[in-house]
Amino acid sequence: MIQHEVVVRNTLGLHARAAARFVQVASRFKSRILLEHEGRTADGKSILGLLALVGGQGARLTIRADGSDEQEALRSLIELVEACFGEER
Amino acid sequence: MKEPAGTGDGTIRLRGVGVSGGIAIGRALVLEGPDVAIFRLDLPPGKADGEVARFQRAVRRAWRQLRDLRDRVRNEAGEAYGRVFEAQILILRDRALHQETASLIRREHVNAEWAFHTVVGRYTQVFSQLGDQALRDRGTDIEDVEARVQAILTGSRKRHDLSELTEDVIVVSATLCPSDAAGLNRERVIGLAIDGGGPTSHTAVIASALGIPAVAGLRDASTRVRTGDFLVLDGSEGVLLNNPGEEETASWRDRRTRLAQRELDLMMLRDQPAVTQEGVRVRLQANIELVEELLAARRFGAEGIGLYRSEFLYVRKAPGFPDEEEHYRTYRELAENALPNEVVIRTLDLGGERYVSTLLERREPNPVLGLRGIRLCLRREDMFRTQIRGILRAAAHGKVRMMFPMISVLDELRRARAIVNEVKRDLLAQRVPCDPDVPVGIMIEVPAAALTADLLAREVDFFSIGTNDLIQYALAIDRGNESVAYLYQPLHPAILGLVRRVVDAAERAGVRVSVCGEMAASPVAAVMLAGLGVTELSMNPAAIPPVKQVIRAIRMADARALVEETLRLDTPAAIEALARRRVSELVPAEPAAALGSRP
Repeated sequence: MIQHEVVVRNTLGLHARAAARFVQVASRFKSRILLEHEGRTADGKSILGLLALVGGQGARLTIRADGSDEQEALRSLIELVEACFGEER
Repeated sequence: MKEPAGTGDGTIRLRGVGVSGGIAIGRALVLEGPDVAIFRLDLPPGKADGEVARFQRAVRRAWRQLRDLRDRVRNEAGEAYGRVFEAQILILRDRALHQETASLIRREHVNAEWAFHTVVGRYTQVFSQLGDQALRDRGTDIEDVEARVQAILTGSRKRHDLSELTEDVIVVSATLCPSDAAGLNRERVIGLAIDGGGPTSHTAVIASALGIPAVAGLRDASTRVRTGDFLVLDGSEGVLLNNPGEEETASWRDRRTRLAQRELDLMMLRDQPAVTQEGVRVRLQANIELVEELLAARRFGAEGIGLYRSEFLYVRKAPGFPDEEEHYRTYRELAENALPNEVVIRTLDLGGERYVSTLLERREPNPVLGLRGIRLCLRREDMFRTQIRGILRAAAHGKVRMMFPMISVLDELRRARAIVNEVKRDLLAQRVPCDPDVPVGIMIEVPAAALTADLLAREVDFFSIGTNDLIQYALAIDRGNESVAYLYQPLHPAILGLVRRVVDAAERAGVRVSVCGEMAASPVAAVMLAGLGVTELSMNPAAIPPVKQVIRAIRMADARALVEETLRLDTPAAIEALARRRVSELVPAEPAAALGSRP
């Protein structure tokens, strides 16, 4: 299992559309994806779990990936978060 | 059909935020909150599996409905709006939701409605306790999904089926879910008044994409209006009137008629190509400053963005600078949403009248002739490189061109291009996705650049003539100075001569040339520009329809003849008078409207 910490930078935080993007990308991989925020953990392929994490702007999230394609998965997800989920300022 | 009217007794005036422009006049339909009461029922023994299956069928059906809704919005309003529903679709497919609901049904032998409501509640309660509106808004998508599934489960119609109304209504509601907004029957729902929300809510986005006038943030409107009340709603100004009098209503009707007429004319023109009578195509593009203005550009029929002013990005970040990601994200959004059309991004043009003290070392006595445009960028190379990186990266996502402002001498162009090449090499070496072949052009706005256009043309991919500054600099007048403003004459022989010179140089070198000043926005001047050989014009979006109207009415040969004729005249006033006369002869229909200088 590998993990990496990212900071949510878009103003609306991990809002619905951002979470949707995250789940879409995470679901492309076979690895199990977990997202941790302030001691709580959510399934990275579950949008409800992600939304309930309540990561606003500036939130530090730890992404964990575990599986055969974990490297690729983690890299894609980090990119996505750092690109502010590809849509928001 | 006779329209309803008010009595004017005890008119209530409410102010909110206009989130979708236009005026609506009609009867209110006040939506009540969800009226599907959800009861807990114990299942008879052995029925749990069947109940789980019933739940799964309802979810599948809800999923199909949402998918259709997404496709419909995508077709009617564009890809980006369809995306609003992706989150809801994923919520419906969420494994946690299915598993938790199914296990609750089996464990407690309860009905699907109750189990689903309980599971959803676990998630929504987290959000409802948040203070931040943006975070609280997250709950709406989940609630919206629940309402849809519950409606299917209980077999009831949705709490309000807005697609099956039989009379025109202005919908008044405490909240309105995005799917309600998208499900609106546009023939019947003529306006939206919402207590909560703001311009960033999904509902606002959808309403504006569908062209339904809407006001949000009205606080308690849904309790102060009753179904059947007579309302006037102004989605541009954010106003809601309950029971206005006859006289006031009449003036709103006039305004609405004028708006509707203008809108109709626009719609008729929007999809028509800008071609002259003999079939010469003229490219009409929009000048914009905000990504949001893309909608207006599209609405007025722009074929892409001929000038995106990047200054706003900087002004918003002052006293700091935008970072590479901010540049990248903004330009990428622009590029993606402008497709299949192109976007011309002008690099920072601060300085001059747009004085930003933090960027300049000291106050300049004469900022218009000072450290501005490319001069400032070459002085602050770090800042310039950041912007170039953002542009090159974003260019991988659409059709992007890059343009430097205020070039006055070839050395500046060479220096700027060298920086672009260095940035390009860095990006390629770092394997950062980008488009290394972004066309690079310059603004022609300094007379010296216009006079040496032949030298500059060899080293650019395109020219864009910025007539506002070109006129100011060539005629040595400050438009802002009332005492000399009368000398601001776009049709001065000197300006026509400079434009011709630039066009000739561009033609010889085989580079594109456009005009992006206000001159392009005047139908009369646009004909003159066409006659001078300019077939690309970029202007504020609202100016496009009248210019298009004129272009479609003329022949290129007439425009050229007009220019030849004006060359024999000696004063700007005489040239303008002749041009107006000729253009009004060439454009028989509604010459007054077509010739208005600006809408």
